[in-house]
Amino acid sequence: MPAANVKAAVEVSAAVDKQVVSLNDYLTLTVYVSGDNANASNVQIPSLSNFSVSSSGRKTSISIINGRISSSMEYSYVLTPKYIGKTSIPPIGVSTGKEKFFTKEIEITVVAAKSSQSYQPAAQQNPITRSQAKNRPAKGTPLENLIFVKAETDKKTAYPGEQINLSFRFYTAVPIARNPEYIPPKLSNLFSEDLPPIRSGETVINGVKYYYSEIKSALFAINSGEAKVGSIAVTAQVQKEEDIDPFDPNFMQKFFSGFTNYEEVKLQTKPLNLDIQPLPENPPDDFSGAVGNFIVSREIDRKEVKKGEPVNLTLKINGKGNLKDISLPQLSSPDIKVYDSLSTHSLTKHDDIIGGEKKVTYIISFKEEGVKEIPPIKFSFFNIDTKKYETIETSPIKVKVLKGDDAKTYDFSQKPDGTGGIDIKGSDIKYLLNSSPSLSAKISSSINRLPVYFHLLFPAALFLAFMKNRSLYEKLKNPQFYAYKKAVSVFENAMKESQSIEDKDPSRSLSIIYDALMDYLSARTGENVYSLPIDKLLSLYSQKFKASEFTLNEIRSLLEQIEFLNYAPSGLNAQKVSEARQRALVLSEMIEKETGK
Amino acid sequence: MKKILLPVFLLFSALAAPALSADPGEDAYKKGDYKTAAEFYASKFQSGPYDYAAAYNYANCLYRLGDNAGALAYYMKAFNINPRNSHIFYNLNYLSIQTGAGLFPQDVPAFVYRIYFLLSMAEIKALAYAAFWFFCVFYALFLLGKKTGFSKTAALSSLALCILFSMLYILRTNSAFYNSAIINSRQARIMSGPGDDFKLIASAENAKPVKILSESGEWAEIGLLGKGVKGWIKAADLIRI
Repeated sequence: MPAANVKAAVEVSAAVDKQVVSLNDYLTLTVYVSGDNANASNVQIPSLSNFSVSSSGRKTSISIINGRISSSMEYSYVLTPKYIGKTSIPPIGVSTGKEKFFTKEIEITVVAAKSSQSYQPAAQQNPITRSQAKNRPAKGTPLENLIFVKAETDKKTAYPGEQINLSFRFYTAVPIARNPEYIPPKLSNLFSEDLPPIRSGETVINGVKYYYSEIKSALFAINSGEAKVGSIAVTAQVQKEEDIDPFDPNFMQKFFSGFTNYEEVKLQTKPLNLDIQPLPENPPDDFSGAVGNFIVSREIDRKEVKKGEPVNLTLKINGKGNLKDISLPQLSSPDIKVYDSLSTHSLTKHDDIIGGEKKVTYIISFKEEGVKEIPPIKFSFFNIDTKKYETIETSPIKVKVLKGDDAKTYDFSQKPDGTGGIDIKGSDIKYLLNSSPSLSAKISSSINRLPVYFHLLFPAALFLAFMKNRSLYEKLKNPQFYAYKKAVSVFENAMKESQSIEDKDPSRSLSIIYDALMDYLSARTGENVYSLPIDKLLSLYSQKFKASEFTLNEIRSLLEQIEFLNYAPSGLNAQKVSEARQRALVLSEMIEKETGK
Repeated sequence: MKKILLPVFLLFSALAAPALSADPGEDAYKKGDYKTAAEFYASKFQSGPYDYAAAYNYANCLYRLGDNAGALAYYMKAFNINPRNSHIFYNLNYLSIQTGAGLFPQDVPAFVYRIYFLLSMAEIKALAYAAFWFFCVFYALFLLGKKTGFSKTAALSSLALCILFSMLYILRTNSAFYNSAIINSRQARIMSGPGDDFKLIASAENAKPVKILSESGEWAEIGLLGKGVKGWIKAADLIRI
């Protein structure tokens, strides 16, 4: 029956106590996790549409061998079936924090109840039989009298941490399609523990016989004051106007076979208020909130040990109360050094009382040789039976400590510099400081608070430098290509410069136009055209590009005009320079078009 | 003579001034009035968030008042501002051992922590930024052909420092001092979701350090350091570092 999955140092398996279960019964699913990280495991029960799942506790066992800690966990769940038929429990995921493991699928068969006697055990206790026809509901009875829910707590006032049992009952005197859907209540200032299994039976109220299901849970208040249990909701499907006897021996088979005319009924209980009283004043100094009734015992894995060698001292706390939330009692002694403590617990729910055992394993070592005593470990709690605080303690243990192996000592408390490992006993915190606020913290904080765009200025500057560098690189690598690429922008800039001085110095302005035009043509043809006569220049241009006659004439005309103006300065004025510049600009546009730009 | 005596008198007055105006928190602390001292240092720390001494002194007062969770939290705050102060490290380590917080595992020599925590997170971040700026500036100078030998060496050194500080910062985000909190409840309940209606998955003792993973309303998702336990806890049960 067990389904196991072995991987690495963690073993995960799941098992059920029965694979064939009747509808009115339940089965217990146990998930086993063992290995190095078992105590950190998290079982993820998948969504089970055919079962109501409630946790029935967990059990931990732990072993420490040669300093290696291994543990095993048992997680128990009670599964109550909802429908008849073959179903399965899909692989259950168990996460250990680092890895995830899965159990194998388990097949389950849910069968109909064998008889009303076996299905409804309460009927055996109460001598109510089918012949008592008067207990059947009369026709026309309102639905709210045939099916209803009730919730109550076993006490209305409690202390924080004291168990309060919440009982929820679902009553029906009419057939229902399947086990109803239960929606647990919202809890305020409370937390709960399931108290499985779901109980069922028969009862007679006001002369009408009802079948009921009961779900119990244990509540624990967190703080004093008001606590509230919200509404508990149930959704059931009830057969409409069918004259079927719910106490018929074949009642359950009829539930799930022939009914077709269903009506969904939603029911909910009224919220319950609880008065949580504060715990009495003046608790013991070491009281950490444990409420219940406990006993303590201790054991040690050996009574003869070398100095500095680790020893496992286990404290056991047994009794009733919420053991999960009990704080670990402190262990301190000048003779021993406590390295770590591990705590495990196993919960029991006998007679609906939460209890069990909590084990605390202290890993300790002795600082000196000789016969040493582990002092009693004190544990204080509020005794819920006597309503008084109690402090109980373990008996002391004598241990013979032999000379240790220096290389294996774990005690760092005797470091000469006094700042390394710290021996708690006999020391105290250091005195007050009288320093000024940290300047480095102020500066760091100022830098860290600078807006993002400020930090982006630096990469932006780097990018600009990179672009400039690329430009210089291209210029050095291929000056002609660089000049070709830059020709237009250089020409346009020169034209602007020429325009800016044409009124003041038309001659200089004209020279700039001439130089710019020659530079532009040099860049475009890839040769220095300054020294060429106009005819040769035009011939060179024609060879390089498919130049139109108009362009060639325009180049010739413009160059001749500039030369004429240059050699006849008396006729030179701003207007003529401006005309020359306009022609040069138009010409450059034509050349750009012809040279493919 | 009067001309000589006046400056001497003023000098002595100035030197004596700090001694005369004693710290009222320290006075109260000396008298054992830790509550008054705590109020003074709390207010001082609130007005000067870089005053690690105020945080440390406040933690000392809380420790004397028996509030280990509060003391641990404020020692951690002081340590985050100035991790090089030996008093802060000593008291933090001391309380970490006492409460079982396990901030500095005792099988690792103390000097390792002193090196690892030489700089605060804020300082590491600021240095990473500064190294990045220097890298950009020096590399830009190198690209522009200014003092190329020096610029190249400085740019590469800055880049190496930037990477080093960034990695150290990322590494330190995993420490117990970053985005963390201290449990300030006798027995805090850790739920599977952000609400009282979720399943109780664990409980944690007072003064345990936790990592804050996310937040939802009045609840915070936390991870118990070194325990592999993750869950939701009421934000009111935490003191943020």
